[in-house]
Amino acid sequence: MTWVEGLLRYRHTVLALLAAALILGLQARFDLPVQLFPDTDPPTVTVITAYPGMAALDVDRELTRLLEEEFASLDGVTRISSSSQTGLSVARVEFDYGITSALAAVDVQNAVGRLRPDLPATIEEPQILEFSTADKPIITIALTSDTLPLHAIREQADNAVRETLEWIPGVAAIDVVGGHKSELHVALDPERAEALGIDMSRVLEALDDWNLMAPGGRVRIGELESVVRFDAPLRSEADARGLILEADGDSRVRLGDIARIRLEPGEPRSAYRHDGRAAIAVQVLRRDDANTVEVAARVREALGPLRDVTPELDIVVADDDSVFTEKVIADMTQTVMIAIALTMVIVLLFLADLRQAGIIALSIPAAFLATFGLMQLAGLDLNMVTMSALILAIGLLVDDGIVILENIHRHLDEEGQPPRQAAIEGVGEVFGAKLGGTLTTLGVLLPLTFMGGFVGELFRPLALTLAFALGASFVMAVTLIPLLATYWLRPATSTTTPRWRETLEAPARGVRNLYLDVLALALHRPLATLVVAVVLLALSLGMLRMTGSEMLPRFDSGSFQVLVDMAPGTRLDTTLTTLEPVERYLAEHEYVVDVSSQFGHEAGARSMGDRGAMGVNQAEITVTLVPRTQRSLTQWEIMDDVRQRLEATPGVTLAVPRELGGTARSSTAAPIIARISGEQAQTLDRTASELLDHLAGIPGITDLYKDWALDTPEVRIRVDHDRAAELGLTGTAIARAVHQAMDGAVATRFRQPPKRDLDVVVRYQVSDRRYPEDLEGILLPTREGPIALSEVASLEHTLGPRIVTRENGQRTLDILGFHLGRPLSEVVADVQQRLDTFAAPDGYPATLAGEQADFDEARGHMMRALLLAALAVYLLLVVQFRSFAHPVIIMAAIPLQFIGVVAALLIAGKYVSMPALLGIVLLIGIVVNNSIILLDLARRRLAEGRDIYAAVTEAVETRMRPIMMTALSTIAGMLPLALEMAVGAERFSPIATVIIGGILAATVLTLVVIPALFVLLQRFGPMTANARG
Amino acid sequence: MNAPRTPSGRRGLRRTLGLLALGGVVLVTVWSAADRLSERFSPEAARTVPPPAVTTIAAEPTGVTLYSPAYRGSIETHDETTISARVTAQVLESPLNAGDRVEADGVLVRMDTDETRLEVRQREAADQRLDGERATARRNLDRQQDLFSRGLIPESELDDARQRVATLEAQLRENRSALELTRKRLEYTTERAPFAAQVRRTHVRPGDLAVSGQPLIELVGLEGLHAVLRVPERDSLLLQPGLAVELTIPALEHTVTTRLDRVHPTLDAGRRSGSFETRLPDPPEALRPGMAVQARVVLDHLDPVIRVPAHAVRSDADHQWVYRLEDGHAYRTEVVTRSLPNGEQAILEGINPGDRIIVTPDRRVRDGGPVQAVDDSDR
Repeated sequence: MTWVEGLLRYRHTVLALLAAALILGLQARFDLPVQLFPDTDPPTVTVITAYPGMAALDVDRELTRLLEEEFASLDGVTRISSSSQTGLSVARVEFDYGITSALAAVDVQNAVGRLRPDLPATIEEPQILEFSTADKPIITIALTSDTLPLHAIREQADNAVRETLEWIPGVAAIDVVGGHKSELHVALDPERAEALGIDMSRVLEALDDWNLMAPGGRVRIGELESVVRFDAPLRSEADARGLILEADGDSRVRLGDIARIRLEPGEPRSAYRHDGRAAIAVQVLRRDDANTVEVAARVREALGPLRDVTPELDIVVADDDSVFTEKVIADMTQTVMIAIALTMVIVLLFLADLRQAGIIALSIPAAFLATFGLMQLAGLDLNMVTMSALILAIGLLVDDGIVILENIHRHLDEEGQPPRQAAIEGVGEVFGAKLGGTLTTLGVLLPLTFMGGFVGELFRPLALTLAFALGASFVMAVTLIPLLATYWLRPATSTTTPRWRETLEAPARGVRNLYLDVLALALHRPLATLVVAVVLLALSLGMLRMTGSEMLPRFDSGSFQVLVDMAPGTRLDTTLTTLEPVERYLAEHEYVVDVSSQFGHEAGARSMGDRGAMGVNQAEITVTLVPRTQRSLTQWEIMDDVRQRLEATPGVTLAVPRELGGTARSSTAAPIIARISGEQAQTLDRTASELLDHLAGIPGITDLYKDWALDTPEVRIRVDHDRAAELGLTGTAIARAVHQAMDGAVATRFRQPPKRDLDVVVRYQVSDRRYPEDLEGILLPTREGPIALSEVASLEHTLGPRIVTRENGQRTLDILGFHLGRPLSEVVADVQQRLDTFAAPDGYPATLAGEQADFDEARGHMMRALLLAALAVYLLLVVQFRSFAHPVIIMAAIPLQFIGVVAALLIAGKYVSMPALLGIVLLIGIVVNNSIILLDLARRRLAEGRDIYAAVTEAVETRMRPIMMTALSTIAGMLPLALEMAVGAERFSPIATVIIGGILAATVLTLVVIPALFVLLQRFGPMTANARG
Repeated sequence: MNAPRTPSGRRGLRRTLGLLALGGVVLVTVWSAADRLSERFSPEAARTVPPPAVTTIAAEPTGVTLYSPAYRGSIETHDETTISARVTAQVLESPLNAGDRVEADGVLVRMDTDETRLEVRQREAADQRLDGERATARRNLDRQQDLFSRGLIPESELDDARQRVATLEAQLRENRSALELTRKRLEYTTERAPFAAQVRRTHVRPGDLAVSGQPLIELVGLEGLHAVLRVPERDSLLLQPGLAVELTIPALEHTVTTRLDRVHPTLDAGRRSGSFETRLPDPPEALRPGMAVQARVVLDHLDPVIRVPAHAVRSDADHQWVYRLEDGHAYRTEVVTRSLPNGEQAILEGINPGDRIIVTPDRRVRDGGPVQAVDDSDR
């Protein structure tokens, strides 16, 4: 019993199974989570450690370096990068994809525990986070209000909003940015304090001592037991004012006598604006292993009830990519429809039969639904990658169906068999070839799912989706199509062809005849044919080397971020005032959906971007635009406009607009990175400045800047040891006194249940800590009474780094660059050339990192996948053809694809990229299909004793129609993706471009070169014998 | 091989069409390849980075006063006293507390007077008795003299009468002196302020037994208040009597300009800080000794100089300079400056009035380099 006979016998079972699969698939379509891009970030653990009051270089030397050294010994670590800033160390450890972030966090926790005794005593407890601080928050909520002042909004954000969002599963942290966090501020008047003989430490002590919450034990009352407790916390400003600092006889010195105490907004070191309006940002960070879309959806869901309980707040989701994601998915769904329609037109044109076209048309949604079901089982989601795979699949989906249906139809029409018999024989004839073809394509996809690295993570969903779609299409082609064909197809009722069919078939016949002419010529001159093919191939490969490459094609996501630096040392209010006109300018445009800006760094916030915690002279402006189809300007034009506007703003020293997703890997800060490693910060800075000048003027680079420099104004206090010792002062005591006076010290917590506790901060009043002369006047407590800092120390004005970075244990300084108008590979080649001629000091090597390094790594993975794919295909063909030589002929089609690939890339104006490479890998599985069905028949005819020429010509004649049909239907299916009709299609369109070019070339050449090669090889005895055997 | 099956006339047309189509594709490909190659070998020049945008201010000379850093100290007085008990008595009244003000001659402490008063009366009574006895003795002496002149009595009796008068007069003088003493002691039971003052501290309360010599109350005079200010060792050499001093009393939010009176010759051994003194003309009513005071000494008055924000002045170890704007370019100009308080610098030399000084602290500004000057009105 053949396959189709069995199918027909158990058709009810088969139909029921198919129906069940389709219903499950339908349900899966609506259940599949939706996101823009698959989560490709490696498991990352970040350790944030506060080291209060220490300068960046000291933090680096005494803390970060030690942490890095310890982490380097952990299993599965792939990269360690760190940054050290004033009072803050951030070490980021990336692990292999196979390790879960929870396990990685445990390892890191243990490492920190082992190292803890060797770390400085004054560091705060290291925070170990299961995500990267460079990650963008998955969602940012902007809070504004018409009635509440900013600090009141901040209080709401710190309490109601934060508490609601923190409990959402998958949320790792909530950062609240902007406004002024309230604090109980004790502004000390140093003169009064001195006059009354009180110093700062006495104030801190008193506040801590009398903010009383302490246990007192238990006491029996009758037969009952009571808990004894002291419950006298500070409850109000008045409580604090009344604290007695000193009592002498009748006289009392109260805190209120020497300080102004107010519950008021603290000193801001960060700010946030939404559409030019001061706002509070609530940023949601997800756990590394949580799904972005699901968490974002839960957050959005939680905002509804929040809006109800806080009607005075205007809660807006700012910087929300869900709108864009929906647009991309909707556009891509539309593209799927267009692709289906185009494919159906081709099918209709070729088959010229509505019934046949109808059967194919039915098989497409069926295959799709089955694919959705499989995607859900595999835990995939709908995103740009999987949607691109679905679009790609359309062209391939119908291939099996077309070939099988065409063969059934041939049996029905040309051989006059009844439908049932036609189905049995039609399917039986090509079943093996189609199974082989499908298996070869799957054989190509399989290595892609195990590629490893970032590229593996990125393309695994694509490869899986394609594999599911192809598997489903094959199943449909050998189940649904024969079943439907048996019942629907009827033999032609008349021998005369209708006029409309005649009109449609005429050009097809023309093409066929032209082919046969060319084939005849080729078979006459097989060697010349091969030489022409080889020359073309050589030219193409040469051109492929000349054409530039990039990791991922540029993508007008409608969302970009502008990194802005004011001159180092610029105060927050100046930064805010300077950038306001730019934000207003942006917000005025119709194509701008929203503009949100973040300034400085909120203490304790865990999301820092890849620049580390920003200084108050730094800002990030995030701009969301309407989709590219709804505006006349491209994202890059708008970015350039913003850049020019910022460059014309005095005080702005750096304005770098960069598209979100501008680099394929979020952990790669820029496409171009020239990295200098070395120990001395001064030499690093000087070398980097020289290199920056050396790299200037490379065409295509839009922005080039150093990620840190010795440019931040510092006042260094040089303590006179003798004088300090005479007065019984120590360096630490002086430093502490200065730090407390200028920056403040948290004395205790101000409890205000049920709200979050506030800090009680003691510092000098503003008028006594503004200028260097105030710094000199800070009073230090000595045994001789208080003395001014200027009596034991002198001030030195100098420059220091805002941040110091390390990469895999080496102190580094990166020069970052972005490019436009030229492919990355060419820009990078120029950079490399200049690097080669750059005379770096000994011990300070300058190397090239950035996206090119990622691309090189990805290319390595892809090449391995390509070889594995080719090997898989070869082995499958060996099995299928039971020959070691024939598969070689079949696989000769593979190099030929490059001719088309290069031509297509050139005509489409695209560069070699990861998607293009993926297309090339996929082509291996696709192009051999034609050769398989061609050689399959030729070998059969040869075995029947035909002449080699006759066998080949018949094979071409018979197989040309299905080959042309599948090629054209594949091209039609991929055309919408290649034409980038959908928003977001730019990213993966090279796959389609490459496949179209490759298929075209391979189809044309398969029908000419493969027969020529076959004929040529048949001339040699052993091959002939082999083939006949 | 099978022969072709198509009539030869149409074959030619198809071939031509086919070749044309193929030629078209090849042409487009070659053109694209040429375009790509030209892009590769002669790429568009790199974008020129515009010169840094800067703001400027016009150099306008103004007079500037140079102050010393703020010195801290306190209000002190020369009149300070501790009033002690001059008699031993029980304290009846002590109306003042620490911090109270008292006028000159105001009552400080009142003690028990009963015993002294009785003693005064006793002395007064004795005085009267002695006075009476002396009058009787005088009359007796007159009589004895008369009798003696008449030779009625011997001279020895006259001498006795004389002796009696002299004794009584001596007793009377003794009693009067004791009376005076007692009256003084009565006076001492009420202690009064020797000068207008403020009570620093009281040592006794009503009911206490004040023993003679025991401190009762400490007073601080309110006249002749002056400020004593500490100066770091190195600054003490800069100060001279006669310099103007801007004195601020934070507690009273009172600022007064006065003169430096005296620089104390020795440094405090412990702190190694010097000190100077300055009087307070017309001190405010509420001024008290011990109040914190802050002073800036006017070290110099500069002739009209150019004031710029401190960040406009760049410096390295040896030089200070500003950038002048001229014809769209920045020019480095060496300057001599002095620091002013509140984040300003005074340019003493190097800049002419009317010059435009770049105040944007952009490190990309270079000598001779182009800049774009932006006025606020441009933005």
